[in-house]
Amino acid sequence: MNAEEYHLIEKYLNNDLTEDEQNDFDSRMEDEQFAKKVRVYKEVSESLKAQEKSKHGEEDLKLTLEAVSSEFFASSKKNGRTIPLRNIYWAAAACIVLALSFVFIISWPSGPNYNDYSDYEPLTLSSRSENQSLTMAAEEAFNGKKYTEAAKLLNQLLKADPENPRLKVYLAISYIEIDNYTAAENLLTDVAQGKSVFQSAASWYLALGYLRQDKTNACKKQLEQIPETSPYFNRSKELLDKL
Amino acid sequence: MDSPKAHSDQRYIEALLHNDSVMVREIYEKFSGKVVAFIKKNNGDDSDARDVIQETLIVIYKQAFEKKLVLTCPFDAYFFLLCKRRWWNKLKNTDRKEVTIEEDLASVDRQSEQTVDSTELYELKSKLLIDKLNAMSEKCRELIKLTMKIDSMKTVAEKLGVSYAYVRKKKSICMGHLTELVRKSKEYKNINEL
Repeated sequence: MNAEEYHLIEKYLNNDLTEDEQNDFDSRMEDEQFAKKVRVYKEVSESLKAQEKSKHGEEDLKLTLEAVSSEFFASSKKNGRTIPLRNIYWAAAACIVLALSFVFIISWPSGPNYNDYSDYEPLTLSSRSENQSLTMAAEEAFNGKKYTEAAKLLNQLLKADPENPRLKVYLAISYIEIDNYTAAENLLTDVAQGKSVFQSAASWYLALGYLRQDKTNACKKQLEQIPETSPYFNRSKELLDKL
Repeated sequence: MDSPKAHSDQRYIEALLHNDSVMVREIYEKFSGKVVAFIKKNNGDDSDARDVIQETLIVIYKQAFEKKLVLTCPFDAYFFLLCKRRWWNKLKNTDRKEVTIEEDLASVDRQSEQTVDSTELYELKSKLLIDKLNAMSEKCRELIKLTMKIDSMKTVAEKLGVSYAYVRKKKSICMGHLTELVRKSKEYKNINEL
């Protein structure tokens, strides 16, 4: 590689050539090889610059895509969730126990419960965040169902980014899981009244929070507010029918 | 291309550029069902479809941002073909059993195919660039990244605690090196033959 050549090209791209250098540059440009180097250098430089500038927007778009596709794929699955095979064995075992105990128990408590519906999408947060270790710890705690820990960490993240609807919803879910309903309700109401992509998720979890507290009326009321356009509509209708 | 007229579906490209969540949702609702069905029919599942769709939308965004992508065909055809080919490439690169995906050529018009080609070419080029940048010494890589992020070389010099003259010189050497790596790679030669 000829360092001097590239120094000249760099100066040329910065409009920084002296008159002598410009003449030198012009005459070199007659050489096809040199012209090609200039073209590739320019292309590489422009492309890297654009990539650097698009990074911010790309991270933001990724978050939107995550949220929208979570909703899209949740509502496109007919019954809301898939049951891992392991659970089917447990279910089979449970059925046998149930069948046996049926002899002794006349009325089995029925009705939907919170756990039937609490199938959360795994939490993924932006890697742009300055608090990368905190972000990762929060994801790990939430996805590992350690909700007390998750609530603590998400709370810290929310302090740094107080308007983030994703953090609010996941913090609220963590609160529901650890029975801190008032805090959950405040956060969810806030998001449900907003215009973010998490709006419909917030309404839905608000209803589930009531379900978990056995507040059937409040739950029904909340479910009735979920519009047909919401990705949670089918599930909310199903739950309403059971209540 | 001499300034082509944008298709009315250009609004979906703008939506990606502006991170418009309402329109992004519309993209999913209107155009993704077909992709999901296709992938499921061809050895994939929901989560494969989800990845393919997201990756495709990100590439479209990046091309639009960098190269001012102008859509001259319906978004539907463009997006579907891109997703289809991406899935096909994924299948080729994994051990999944041999599958043949019939490219229904009759249904693809030339205009859509050209736009799809331009997006794929764009992606190949950016991947090549990132690969080669990562193959460089850490010092060069950091310097290049910094000079791309910060327009003023004086600020870069201050940040690195070196002289302005040194940064300028070092940058042109590193960039020259990168240019050579790109130019001489067989991928670059392949791309330019396309």
